[in-house]
Amino acid sequence: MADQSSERSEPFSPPVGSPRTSPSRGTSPTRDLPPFEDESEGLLGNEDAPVLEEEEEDGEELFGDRMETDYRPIPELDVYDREGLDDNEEYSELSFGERAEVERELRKRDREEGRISGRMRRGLLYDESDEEDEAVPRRRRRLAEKAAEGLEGEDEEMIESIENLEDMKGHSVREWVSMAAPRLEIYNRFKNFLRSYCDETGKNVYREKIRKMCENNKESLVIDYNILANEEQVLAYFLPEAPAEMLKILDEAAKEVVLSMFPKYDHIAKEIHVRIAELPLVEELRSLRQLHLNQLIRTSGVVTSTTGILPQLSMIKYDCQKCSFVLGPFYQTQNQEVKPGSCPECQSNGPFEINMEQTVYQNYQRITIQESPGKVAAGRLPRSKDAILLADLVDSCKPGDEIELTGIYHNNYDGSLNMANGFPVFATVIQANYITKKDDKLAVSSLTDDDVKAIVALSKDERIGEKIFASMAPSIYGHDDIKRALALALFGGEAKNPGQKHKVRGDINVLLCGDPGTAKSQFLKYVEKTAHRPVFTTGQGASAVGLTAYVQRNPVSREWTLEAGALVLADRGVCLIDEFDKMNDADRTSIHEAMEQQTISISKAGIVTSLQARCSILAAANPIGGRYDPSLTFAENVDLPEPILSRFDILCVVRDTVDPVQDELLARFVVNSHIRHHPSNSGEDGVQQEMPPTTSGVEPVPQDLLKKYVIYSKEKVHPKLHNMDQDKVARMYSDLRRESMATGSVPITVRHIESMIRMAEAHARMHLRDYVNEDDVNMAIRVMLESFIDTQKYSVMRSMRKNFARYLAFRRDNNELLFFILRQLVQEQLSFHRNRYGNTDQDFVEVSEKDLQDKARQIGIHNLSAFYESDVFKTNRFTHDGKRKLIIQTL
Amino acid sequence: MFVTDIRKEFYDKVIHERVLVLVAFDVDALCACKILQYLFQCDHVQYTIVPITGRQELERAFLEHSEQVKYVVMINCGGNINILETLQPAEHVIFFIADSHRPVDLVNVYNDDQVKLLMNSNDDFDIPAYDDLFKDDESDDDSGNESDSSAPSGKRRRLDEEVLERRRERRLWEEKRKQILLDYEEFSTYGTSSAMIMFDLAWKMSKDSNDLLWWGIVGLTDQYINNRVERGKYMTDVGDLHKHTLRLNHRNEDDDNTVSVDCMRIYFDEELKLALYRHWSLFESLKHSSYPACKFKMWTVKGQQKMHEFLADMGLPLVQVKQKFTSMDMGLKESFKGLFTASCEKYGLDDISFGSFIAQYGYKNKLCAADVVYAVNGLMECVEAEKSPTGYFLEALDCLSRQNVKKLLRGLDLAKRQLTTIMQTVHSFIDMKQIISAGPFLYAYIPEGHPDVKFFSRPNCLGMLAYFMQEAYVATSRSRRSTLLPMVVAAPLDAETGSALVIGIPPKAEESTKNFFGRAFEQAAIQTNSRTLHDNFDTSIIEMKSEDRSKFFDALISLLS
Repeated sequence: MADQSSERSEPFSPPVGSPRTSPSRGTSPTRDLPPFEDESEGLLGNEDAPVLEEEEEDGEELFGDRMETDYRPIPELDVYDREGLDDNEEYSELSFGERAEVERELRKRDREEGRISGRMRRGLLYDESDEEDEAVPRRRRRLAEKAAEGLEGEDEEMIESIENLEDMKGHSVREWVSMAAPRLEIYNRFKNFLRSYCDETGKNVYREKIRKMCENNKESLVIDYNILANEEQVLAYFLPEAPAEMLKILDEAAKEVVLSMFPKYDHIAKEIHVRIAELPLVEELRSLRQLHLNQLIRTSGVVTSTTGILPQLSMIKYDCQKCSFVLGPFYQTQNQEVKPGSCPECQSNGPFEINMEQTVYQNYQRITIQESPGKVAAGRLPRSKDAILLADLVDSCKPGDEIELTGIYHNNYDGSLNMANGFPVFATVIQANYITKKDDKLAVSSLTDDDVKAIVALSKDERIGEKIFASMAPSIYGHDDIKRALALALFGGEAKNPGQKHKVRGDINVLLCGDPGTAKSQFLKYVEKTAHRPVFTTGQGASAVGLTAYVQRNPVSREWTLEAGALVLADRGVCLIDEFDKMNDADRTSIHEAMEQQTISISKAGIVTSLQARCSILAAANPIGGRYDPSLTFAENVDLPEPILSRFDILCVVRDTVDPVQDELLARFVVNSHIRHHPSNSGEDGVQQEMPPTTSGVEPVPQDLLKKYVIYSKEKVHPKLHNMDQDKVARMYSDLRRESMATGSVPITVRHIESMIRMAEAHARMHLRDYVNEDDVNMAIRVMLESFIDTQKYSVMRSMRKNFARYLAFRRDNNELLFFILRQLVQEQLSFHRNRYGNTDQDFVEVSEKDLQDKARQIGIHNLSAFYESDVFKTNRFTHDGKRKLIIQTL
Repeated sequence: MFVTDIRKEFYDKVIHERVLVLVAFDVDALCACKILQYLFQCDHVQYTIVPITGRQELERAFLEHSEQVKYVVMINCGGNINILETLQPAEHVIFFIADSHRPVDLVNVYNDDQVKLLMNSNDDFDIPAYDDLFKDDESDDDSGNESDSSAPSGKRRRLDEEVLERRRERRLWEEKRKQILLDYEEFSTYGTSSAMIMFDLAWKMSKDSNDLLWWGIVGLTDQYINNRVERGKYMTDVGDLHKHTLRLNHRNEDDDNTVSVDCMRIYFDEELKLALYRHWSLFESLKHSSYPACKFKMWTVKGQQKMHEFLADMGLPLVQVKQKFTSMDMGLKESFKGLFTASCEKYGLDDISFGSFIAQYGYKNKLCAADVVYAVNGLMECVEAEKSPTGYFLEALDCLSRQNVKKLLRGLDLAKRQLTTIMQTVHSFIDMKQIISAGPFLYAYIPEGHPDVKFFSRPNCLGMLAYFMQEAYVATSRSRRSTLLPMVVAAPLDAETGSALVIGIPPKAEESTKNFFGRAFEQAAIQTNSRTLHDNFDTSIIEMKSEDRSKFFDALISLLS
């Protein structure tokens, strides 16, 4: 830019004495120099120097009696100094390039001086060496752009060319920014930044962002502060110092850019708000001081309360009561109300009334944020601060959210505070500019096309069902039945509402019951991390009202208000209840309604209402006396009444059995898992990473994808019951009921038919199928049966397993089945040895191949060779001796 | 034979007689029927209307009524089949056929006594000359079964030079005839809409009114919407109707002579290719209309973003766009059409608008011709099994009259459901990549268990689906060849009998509506011995046994490649 301004200054310089101090030199008078540069003295004539000094020394004198004397003619002084004038010829002698060279040289020197004198912050200055070279083309481009837009006006050109904005000529940032010239410069620079900033890949970031914003009819444009700081240091420097003024300018600039892209966007959003993200310095709420007043700050905390949304006057028009003239518009500032003095039409002093029709309002909400409990220094109470949300920020957070807030730290006058303290103090408030929530939950709208593609691709996999089962809680070994149950519960069935009169629930409730130390709570914790909207409670920590809903008197408004309990909060999600058996009976009965009708009815203190609680309940309980006794039925084992048991779709009994090989595998798994997941283990230091094979031997789905898969399927897939095998279900039901009556373990009720349907739907949904097919029904029956048989006495269990074998064998891997049989044979052999010879410390067990073949033939498997080769066979240390027709397991 | 003076040769003849009117199941036929009905009512002509779904029903209906009637009017049916052969009518029965199906059967064309064709003489028929088809010389007893008449003639004659020469000539002539017939019948297409023919008749009798004109317009629009007419032809026909519109509506401009708002007023206007938007929300309409949906690829997230961007570019707030059109902001409602045309070029929606007509009666009822077509179609192909097809036919017929606004509204709702279903099906088919490029054509099959299968057991709805799918496939596919591929869609018709409905449509790139699937289906069926039923008047729609589907399509592929 140097060349242009100096060229322009050329014709002016001869008549106006010193070119350095001349205000007409270009339009940026002290382009390079800070004001009152010492150098100027040397250039000026000797005679001028005292005058200057005098001015500096006693400024009042200017307007004193001797004021006229300054202007009296002094012939000897009224001539221009020759030295100051004469170098003109040399200037014109210089070639263009040389001049530029010299200019650059000068600037460099000036800057160095400025830096040394400490007038400017170091970090703010460009690194001259590379910046100097860029400055010229960039400036040109901007001019070219201007010219192209046809905006080039004479006076605008005059104001516009403030090259070094960072030089504030002694004004404070705030004053400087609100002056017309810097304002315009900031405006243009920011516009230019929005238009031209590209990331490494050459994509125009903000163009894209603006498009995104417009697509969603939003009015907030999020700017990354770090990028702004890299591109336009000066703006980034001004921004935290004078945020209110700067943001106003930026908003206008952004609006112009938006309108240039979408000319009609002002029909949709009247204003565009620039939101500043990633402000580098994060202040604690506790550490906000006077220093931060009127600065842009970033802080974090938990929202403790929010007010309702009120309309705030933003532009007011008044009606004059006397002549009905409409006054205004008056723009309201944040802290005080602007009122008209007198009517311009009839000169009366009012009264004025607000014109309701033409006044413009904006949304206004006040929230209170409090330091996050984790960040409070030990032994202190958390502090809180009010924040004001305006326009589209309103309702962007709700109580309980952990947020990060960027905003302007304002003070406002508070009369009561003054009274309390006896001297003027100010209350402070943060005017929010940008809010991010810490945990933005996944939603379908956040799924990208790529995600959807990955999900659909995954659903094409033939073994997707098994894959999903295997990827439930991958850090827990075994327990395939529980994993299956949890997966079905996560996907859930389809809720139905025949005739809009009564609802049939679609969620699947699961009860895990078993010996201590069988990872029941771990399963629940896993679901808490994976599911959408989970709420975790424990039986001891939850009361009846805590689970459902309670009525409370609001401390501020003194009104009775309804507060939601865990089940209501988990609406459309999962409610997890640990230690279910430790709960009071009275408390437990309160969730009966929630489990079947999925509503919670309240009639307390004049509030009669019904809340939705459409959640599936996963509960874990311990048996009576701590250990599950297989010789008793489920109902005898658990201290839970029948009504609640029948409300669970799946009951999983977890037994802790002793099996040397399984136990060793389990132990190895746990040790491995601990090694792998140690916080300091980066995963590359040679520790074995291999996962022990799951029993089904399929690759698990990555957890992130699984989450998205669940969300997608729940939203998009609504399986229909279409020519389902009704006979099969009916037969199953009658069989189950007969068995249940005979053995008297868990009652089988109509609820179980619904359960089966739900599970079939969940299984179909898992495969992203739109209708339930044979496989789904079979799987549902299998899960149902397993759950039922598990609840039986040990003695009944075996015969029952045989009866229902054909249902149970569904979709079970042959190898898995054979392995199961083989293990039974091994157990028999072991107990035989124990009883026969009394010694238990055998090294190996031998099982005759023929026995296995016989058993296998019973369930329709004839070829065992694949089984002998399988992983399951080998990892359990079985070997097949073909010559001796023996299967040997080394213990 | 073609009727030249429709009034003298057709109307004046039937005026004192009892008439049987056979009407096919499409909107055009309904409109034509409506106009004819009005004329008959004016002159107290006795008539019987029988809706006809297919050829078999045509025969049955004729048999049922043949004893009582002397004059039969057929609308959009029977033109492309040999009436005399199929129906075996008595000598005195005379058929008047107004049919937009082409090609017209040649026997119908050259029969002077019993078959009269009510068709627009300006249409391009390309009918082969009489002499090329029929030879009246020697012992030909019947012009219909020309081909087998050579055998008896040979027996009767002695074998001499002359005869040999003649035979050779004859063989040549027969080959030529075969070729001509082949060329003539190769493509099936559509001609001028029957509703327009009927309106023409009404106009010639000076009985035309805005109501009749409106039915004529709806008939024509039906052809355009269902891709049965080329754009050029549509534009000329619209031009004709526009003249009538001006003639019948000119009184309104003059202040002294204003008509009450309750009277029907029709005017020409540029219309957007957005289905039913006046009765829906703009957003939904954009999503469900085939043209914008395929341009934006609405089934992807990106496409939806693009549409949002488009809306933002026009300055239409999402809130406004998503609410019912009738409740939209007045200013936007008036200006949005201009906004559309201004922005659509930027987004590649160049031909989103087409010339159409709008009818207004009362303050509330402002109807666009295209919306009426969707509504009538929705009513006619309603899938709720409350009534018989005839019941729905009559309901659709009723909703065309101005008094039955409620029925029309119901029709609009049904049409919305139809469109939503079509869109969903297309969406899932594209997502799951179930539209297969089978080589010479694109192919999609709606599986038996599909939840919306009953929607697609109706020919018109299936046709709409086919066109939508084709356009969507072309939009997603990268290869340029896809625009040159025709499309075949099959849907199960009846689960119990195991039959399926198959429809074939011409390639997208082709301007004309010529459809070669009629003959291709026929041949493929013969080759594979498939059990097919060519019942529909549109030859490119057939029924077949579901089990024969795979071998039929294998044959079709080898036939076309």
